[in-house]
Amino acid sequence: MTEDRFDEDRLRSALHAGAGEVDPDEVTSLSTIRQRGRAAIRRRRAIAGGVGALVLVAAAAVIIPQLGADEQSVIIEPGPQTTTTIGPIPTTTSTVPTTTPPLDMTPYLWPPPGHDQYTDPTEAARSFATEYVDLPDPMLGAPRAAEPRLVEIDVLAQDENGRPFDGRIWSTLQVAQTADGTWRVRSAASEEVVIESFTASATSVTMAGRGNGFEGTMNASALDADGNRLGESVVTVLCCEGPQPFETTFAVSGLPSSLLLVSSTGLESGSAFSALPNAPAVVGTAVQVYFVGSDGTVQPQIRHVEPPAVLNGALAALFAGPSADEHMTTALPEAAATMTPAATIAGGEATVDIPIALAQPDPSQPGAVLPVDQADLVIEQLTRTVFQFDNLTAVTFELGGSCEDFGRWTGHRGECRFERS
Amino acid sequence: MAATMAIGGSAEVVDDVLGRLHRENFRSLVRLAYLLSGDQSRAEEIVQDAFVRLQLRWGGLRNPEAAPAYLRRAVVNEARSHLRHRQVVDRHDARRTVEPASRSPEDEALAEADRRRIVEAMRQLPDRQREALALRFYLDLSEADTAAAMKVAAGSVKTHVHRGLATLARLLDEERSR
Repeated sequence: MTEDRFDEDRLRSALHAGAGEVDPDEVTSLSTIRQRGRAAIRRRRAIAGGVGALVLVAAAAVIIPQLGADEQSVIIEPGPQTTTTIGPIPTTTSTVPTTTPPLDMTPYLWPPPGHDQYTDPTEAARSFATEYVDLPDPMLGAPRAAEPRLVEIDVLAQDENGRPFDGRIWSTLQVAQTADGTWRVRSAASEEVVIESFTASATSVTMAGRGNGFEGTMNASALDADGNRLGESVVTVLCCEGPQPFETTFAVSGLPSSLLLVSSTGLESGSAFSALPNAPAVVGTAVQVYFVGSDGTVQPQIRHVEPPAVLNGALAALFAGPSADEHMTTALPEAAATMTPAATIAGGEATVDIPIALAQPDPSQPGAVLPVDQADLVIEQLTRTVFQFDNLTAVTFELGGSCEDFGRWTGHRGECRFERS
Repeated sequence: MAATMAIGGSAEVVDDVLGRLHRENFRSLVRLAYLLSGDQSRAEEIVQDAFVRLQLRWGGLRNPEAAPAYLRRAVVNEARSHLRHRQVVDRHDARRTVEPASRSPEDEALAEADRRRIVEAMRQLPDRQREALALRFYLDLSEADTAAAMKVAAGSVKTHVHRGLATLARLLDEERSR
């Protein structure tokens, strides 16, 4: 007898009985899931920082530097939200008013200088997917806010006809906003092809990671800033389901700006890809230095300075000025870029001595006064950079060793000592 | 399957919610993955993968109550991918292995052998039909929840279920007549 339709109750009973034969180990599985989840989150964060595993290890270390001539112990947790504890001086709970700090954009993937810049994160992502990864017609998910000034955008998997493929994702891009409002792709991460570490020189690249082992191959590439291939290697992952470890070394024709790993299995992993900038190893402590944005307001940028002299390092970076690709300016006179101020700390107060040559003509001469607007910006850049260190309660600026000269130089205010507000 | 959760917050809160989700869903999801993939050893991995993905997307879930639905959808997707992969591998290796169906009499409908035949026949169904039947008749999901797990329109579920039941009947009938 032929059944037109299968009996639903019979099917229900069969399915429950058949599935009931499966008895998973729930205790072990929860532990495994937690471990894998934490590892995956750590990987994602590592990639978000645009730095390799080795850099992370270095950055995780607590630095114990000495500040200035007074040899006071300073414990600094690295990172944009740097906190400073100076003992035995009582600490203050007041905070320096800041705008949302920009992310560290020193290492990024796309777009390169000279290329169109993007005021829309999706357009930056699309440009990256087409011009850098060479996807002909990428499908992108909606941007998801991840952090202030940072969004994640999925590059969706497509079948051979360009249609969405099972809701899968080829890669997730991290797209960050710079101080001038434009967006840059910082990294691309896939769960199926993972760059875990690499070393890159002008002649060779060694890349290690994991890739999906579905009988597939991966293509590891080193690219210059414009997305041109400097060298590549086909990586074969033998056997087994799930990501398998690999390491490959290949020759390159120049120092790469970034590394790209693309799956070429043609199966469900499609063209999953990951990419990281070839960031120089970040040494030292992240500090904020304040420049003037296109809207005329003072905004922070990230610099890494070498401990122990982190305040001096921050001031030196401030005097060095913004980089061209930051699209910011400084109110400090042009000559500041060739000078280095000297900071000392005593009793929770900093004294910053600025070379007299910054003021031209000599501030003892009539007319050697900064315009009002410029003076206000100079003072704001200086005080914000100093007061990012929570334990500094006041700062005195000197010009050529003279507090009065600094006051004269900044004209209308006549002040040289500033307290944390 | 319903769980009252607070998504987001500290690692401890996330751990706690994850534990509750796991307790309430893991076993049934592994069994669903088994029915969909036919691979007992892979079923547990499929569900673990879904939970790991959930942790990665924790902040992206707009509605905390959506977590079980997200897990179901992830399991369906992953099982489907696994099947496709296995089919390609089978073709590549030219050694597809389908266990011979049991020849037990039909009147032993709910006997061990018959259950195996039905579960085995399920695996021969097209993906969508198999998914619709497993979600509707194993997890007892509504048509709307089944549609969400399969990422299809609600109206399509009815079609897939109808066709699935008919195909299942035909497959078992063909087997009996061999």
